[in-house]
Amino acid sequence: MIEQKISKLNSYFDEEISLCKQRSETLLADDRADEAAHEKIKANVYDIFRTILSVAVKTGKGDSEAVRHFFLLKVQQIPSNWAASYEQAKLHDDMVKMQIEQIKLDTINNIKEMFAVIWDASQAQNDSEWRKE
Amino acid sequence: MTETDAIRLFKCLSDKSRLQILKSLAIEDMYVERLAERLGITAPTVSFHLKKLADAGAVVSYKSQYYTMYSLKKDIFETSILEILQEKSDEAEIQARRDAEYRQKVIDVFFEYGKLKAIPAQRKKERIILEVIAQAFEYDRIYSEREVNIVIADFHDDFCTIRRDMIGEHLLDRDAKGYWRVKP
Repeated sequence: MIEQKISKLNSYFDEEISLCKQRSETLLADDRADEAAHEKIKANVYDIFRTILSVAVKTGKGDSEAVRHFFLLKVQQIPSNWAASYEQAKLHDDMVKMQIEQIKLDTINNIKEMFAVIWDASQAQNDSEWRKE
Repeated sequence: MTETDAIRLFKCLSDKSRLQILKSLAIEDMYVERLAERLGITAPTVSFHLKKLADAGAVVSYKSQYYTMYSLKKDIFETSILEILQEKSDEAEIQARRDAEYRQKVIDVFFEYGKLKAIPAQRKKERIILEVIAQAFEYDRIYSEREVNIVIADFHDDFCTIRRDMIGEHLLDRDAKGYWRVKP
């Protein structure tokens, strides 16, 4: 079952990265270089957390709860610098930096939500199947 | 308009979203949400572009009731491209501008919101950041070592190294009475 969840999450990351790249190319072709760069930032965040998932799987050694715990810990830890950087930029009315940090924070929120949907939904399904048995 | 200003403006204009924003502002002054609705992009993205346009001197903002309104800085756009091309710049001016640009680049890399991120390893770069810090000291005033440390600590925690290097670079001098800023 854990393999299924990991596979779903990896597909999610691959799909999002591919969508970001497509949007970035479209924006670049439309002479919107900065917005294209914003899409690349999103893709980088997805890529970082795809890597973190693979590390979580490696360190978790098949234990679903250990993988979940490791991944969610990183989801909390890594963006704390981005949030601090956003606040600092806000303090200095630096709209350019604020936008970049906001994009990273929005992307991590999407990841967090999707992780909960995939991981916890699969867990609930497992539990209900176990009860039926 | 200097060459640097012109390049910055042209770079800024070479983006479709920013050009669309300017086209909208050419019709009338607008606020962020109105521009976002009109152009079909998010309000934070509009703010991002407006900041870049403001930095390039293309737009200005003003308060109107609850809104921050943006308007075109028309005098910038009244300059013809031919006028920019015909502007003369001699070698000394170019050199001075290059030096100023290099200096600004070093400052931008090593300072963030007025704080020194790290002490540069290269002497030339360190000299530039020390000169910036030296500006925090007044001329013709004697500072105690504690006062010197407090001023430097506003920029970086390692005030001992910076204080010592400022003496070494003859930006500050000292005797038994205290420290003072050296006049150039």
